[in-house]
Amino acid sequence: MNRRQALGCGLPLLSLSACKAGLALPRGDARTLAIAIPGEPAGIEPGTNLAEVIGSEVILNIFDTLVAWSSDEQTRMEPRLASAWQVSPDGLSWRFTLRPGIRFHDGTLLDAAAVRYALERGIAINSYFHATMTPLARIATPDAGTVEFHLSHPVPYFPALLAQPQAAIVSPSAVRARGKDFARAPIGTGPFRFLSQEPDVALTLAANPAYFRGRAWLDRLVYQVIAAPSTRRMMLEAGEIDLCHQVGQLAALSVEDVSALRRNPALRVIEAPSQILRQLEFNNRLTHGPTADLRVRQAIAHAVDADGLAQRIMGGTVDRAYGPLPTANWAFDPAQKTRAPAYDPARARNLLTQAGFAPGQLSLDLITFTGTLWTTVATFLQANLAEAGIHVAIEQMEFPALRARHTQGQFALALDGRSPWFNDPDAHMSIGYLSSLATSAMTFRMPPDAALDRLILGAQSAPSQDKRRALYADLQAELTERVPAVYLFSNKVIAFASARLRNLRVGSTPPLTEYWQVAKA
Amino acid sequence: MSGTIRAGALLLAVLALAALLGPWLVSAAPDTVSVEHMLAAPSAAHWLGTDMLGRDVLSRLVSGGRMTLLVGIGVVALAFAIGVTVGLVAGLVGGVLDWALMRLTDALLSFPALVLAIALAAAFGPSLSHAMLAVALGLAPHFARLARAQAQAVGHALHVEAARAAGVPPGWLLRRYYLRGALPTLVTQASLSLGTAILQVAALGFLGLGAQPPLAEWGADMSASLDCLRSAPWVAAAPGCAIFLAVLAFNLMADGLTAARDSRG
Amino acid sequence: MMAMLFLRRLASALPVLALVLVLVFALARIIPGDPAETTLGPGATSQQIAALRHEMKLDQPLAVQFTAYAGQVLHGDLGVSLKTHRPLREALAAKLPATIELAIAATVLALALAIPAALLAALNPGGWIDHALRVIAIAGVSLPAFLTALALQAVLGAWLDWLPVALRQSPWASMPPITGFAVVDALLRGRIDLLGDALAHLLLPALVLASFLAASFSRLLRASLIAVLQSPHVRAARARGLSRRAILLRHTLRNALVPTLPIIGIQFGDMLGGAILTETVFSWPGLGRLTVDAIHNRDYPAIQAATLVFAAIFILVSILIEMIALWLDPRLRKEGGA
Repeated sequence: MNRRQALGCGLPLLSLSACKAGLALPRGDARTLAIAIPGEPAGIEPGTNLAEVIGSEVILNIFDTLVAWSSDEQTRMEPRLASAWQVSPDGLSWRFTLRPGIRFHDGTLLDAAAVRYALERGIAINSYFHATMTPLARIATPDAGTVEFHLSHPVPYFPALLAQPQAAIVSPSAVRARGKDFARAPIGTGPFRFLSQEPDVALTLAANPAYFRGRAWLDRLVYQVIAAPSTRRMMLEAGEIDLCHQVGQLAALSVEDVSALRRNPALRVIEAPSQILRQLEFNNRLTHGPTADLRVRQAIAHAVDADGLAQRIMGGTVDRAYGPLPTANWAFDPAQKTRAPAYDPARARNLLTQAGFAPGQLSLDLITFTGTLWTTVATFLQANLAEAGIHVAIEQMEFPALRARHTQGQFALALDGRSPWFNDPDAHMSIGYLSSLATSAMTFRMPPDAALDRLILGAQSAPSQDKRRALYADLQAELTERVPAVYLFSNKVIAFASARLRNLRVGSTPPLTEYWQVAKA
Repeated sequence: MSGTIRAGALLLAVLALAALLGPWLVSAAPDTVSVEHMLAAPSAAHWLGTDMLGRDVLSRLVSGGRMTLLVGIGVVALAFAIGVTVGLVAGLVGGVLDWALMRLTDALLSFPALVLAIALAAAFGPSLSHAMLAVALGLAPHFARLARAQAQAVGHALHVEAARAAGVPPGWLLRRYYLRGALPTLVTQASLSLGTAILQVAALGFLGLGAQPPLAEWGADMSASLDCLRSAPWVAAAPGCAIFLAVLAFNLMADGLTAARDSRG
Repeated sequence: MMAMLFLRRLASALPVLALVLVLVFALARIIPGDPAETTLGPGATSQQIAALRHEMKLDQPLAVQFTAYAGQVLHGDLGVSLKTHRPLREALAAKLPATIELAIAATVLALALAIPAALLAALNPGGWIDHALRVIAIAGVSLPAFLTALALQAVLGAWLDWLPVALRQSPWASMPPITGFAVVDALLRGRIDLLGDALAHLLLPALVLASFLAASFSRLLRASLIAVLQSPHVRAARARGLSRRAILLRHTLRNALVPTLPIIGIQFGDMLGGAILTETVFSWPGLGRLTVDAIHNRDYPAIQAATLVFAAIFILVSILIEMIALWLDPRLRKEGGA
């Protein structure tokens, strides 16, 4: 054998053995958690976060907020950076006491000045945060360990606003040092610190050894970008990744897929209800046109088989919605289940005839987003309405284009959704139904109605939770009568995780999942 | 190797027949949504099962097949027309025009075919007609090159020079000598290109730049059914195999034609 | 001598490159919608739009705009992504090595598969091996890249679990890149486990790309080999009593490779196109994925930049292949190139 032949044989053998070596040697992944995400995470620091799902979760793990929802159930607030808080009798001023000795990842100390800087910065540069913090008049820092918030009117759920991802506390010295580049290496106080980010590949976090609640069990957290859902599933089953979520805009898995994953002993399927709502909404500011007629709107509501959609098309991965509040919200009125329009194609046809439309005479345009989920739902609705004698043409577009059409009112029917920015029924109600806010964002475009507005604002600031619950019950009844939309379903937050994970709790209303306590067996 | 030509032609005939007669053979329309029977396995009612919206896969396959064949022929015809015109003009006129046209052709050839198609389709907007135009523009340079070479070869032949000197009108020259001489090569190239055209249109459909829903197109259908690949592989496998068989048929024929021409010449 | 030829070839490629630049520029101008409006979003005022248009030089005549654009490109500024608002040069520099690594691996695999196949077929033309290989080759060329990718991923990755299903490296192996080439970086770090991980992830996508290339290349090489085997000097060598193997390896292969190389250049272009589809299926973080994401995000500057880079790579590779041809066959040098 001459040299060339030897090389020719040797090279393949060498690479093959290297392959086997790579696969056989103990991998350094015992304390690494690999999470699959569908796209590059955006909004990973509070100043730029516009309610992006993954960004919100990353913020939760790199930063801390003053208070947070207790991880056991999403109805109690627990102290985080703040150790205690109290509200003045008139409800206009809140006083938070900070825990001493907490440091940012860059070593600087967390004090009241830092909290004020971070929150004022958020209000200044983040339009979402600015919108939710309108009741805030000013922030005062009487001493290094106390922060006072002075409001313009009472907001009983004010701590919930401080639990939002956009309210997380950033390191002022890091922001001053890096300026606009802060988002590329964010510094907070959280259980994990930012390690590296390869665009469209992976975002890596490493444990913060000095975390004030104790060091996380994991060494590393890797958010791996994998675009195709089928690939994410394959990698999960192969054990190449440990966790992937199915939430929000992602395509719904078929029933067979979910049950196959449930049967797999190496995996666990964790479900949690969310407060994300999907609905077929009308342009409620149209004064002419078929949908301005209440009977037409009622007909459309009766024509939609919402149960069939939730159970069969969406394969049980969603919860049915019955009204403006999702069933997972504490203010949801169980009477809505009977109040909501039932599936009744005959009644729909009847109503249409009353409104003066013969079967097949009415033609409507529906706008919605691109993507498998929206295509599926839109096609199903199209078929439903066709049965009632309404012809629907579907137009799909990207989010910026749809938002533009929506805020300018250039539509009659839209299929879209909303997720509440903070965990309170007001998050669904004011932004959605206040007539004064009708053209500011993607709202339900309610026409001016002083009585309804008063009801919404009253429920927002009523002193006790029971009083608020009663007022929200009234609101739900009122809105159901006006049929501003056909409420379809709420996505469940579903996580598919390796069975080796311990202490994993999946949160629903943002923020999502904390990994501080998660361990791998 | 007429065996290859025969095999390819037979396959092609079967596919074409299925595409033409299909709509009368299948039970359901390709767009009928049926909530009850989503992702049903192949059965007597649905020979290839149903997709994620309950639509019959076989009827979508057949409908997509007609679309694919028509699209393939359309694309190649367009590429042929554009390319041969440019090539003949360049080859006959010569000079600076020839140089310029050939550099333009080289530039177009520098883009990998799919990249050019993607860029054009993205620029014009996703639709089937834009995808067809884009793929045709990508294939035209090949025809141009061939046509130009043939034009030059034929142009220098003695009998053609004699005819030109004798004052034969150029239109007649074109038909009699140039086209007839170039036709065999061009036809072989056309059959080769058919397979490529179908692959590229399917690729564009797969990327979401070609046929838009609810149009039945093999590539787009494959892309839409990726999410249920594990639980219902037949939904993606059917159009995939169909693409393969169609392209195979054209490639077999092209291969046979090339071999026949080589053994003759 | 070779250097001069290279320079001359490069020079003749310049007009083509210039035309490519014009085409890419024209592409951007065809796109409906005003780039300034798209960048600023629906909430922009007309003053803001006018200001940005002036800044982007959109109010100048086309010739001036093109000169500006060409100048930018020559300085390495490929524009800014509409989605990430970061210079595209960074994104491209990060993603390009991934695609190049994939392409090289695919080429190596393709050659490793095609050359022995072609040799076997050429030695027994008309035999059953020849026929079988012919059928396999035609089938290989008929398979759409995304179908092969999905099939291999499902069978070898998910079902049999022999190879990783997707990505370029396992999550535990993610390290700051040195050269950007995973294999090279692993060797530089001297870590066998990283090398194995990189190679294991490289194998499936490279195989998908190689299948098309190997199929067409083996057919071409076979024809070329047969032609060379029948040439006078080979027959003379046989007459002199040289063994078949010696003839094959030393005389025939080198000569037979040369006429096939220009076609390889074109096939390489097709392979780059196939890379786009393959990278999508395997979530490979390369140029192809960047292009597909840019399409979904309607990020036109990114599509422009990616198209330009693809074309430039293709032209460079074509020149490279021609140089290899010249090196392999000195006769061609005297004629001034193929």
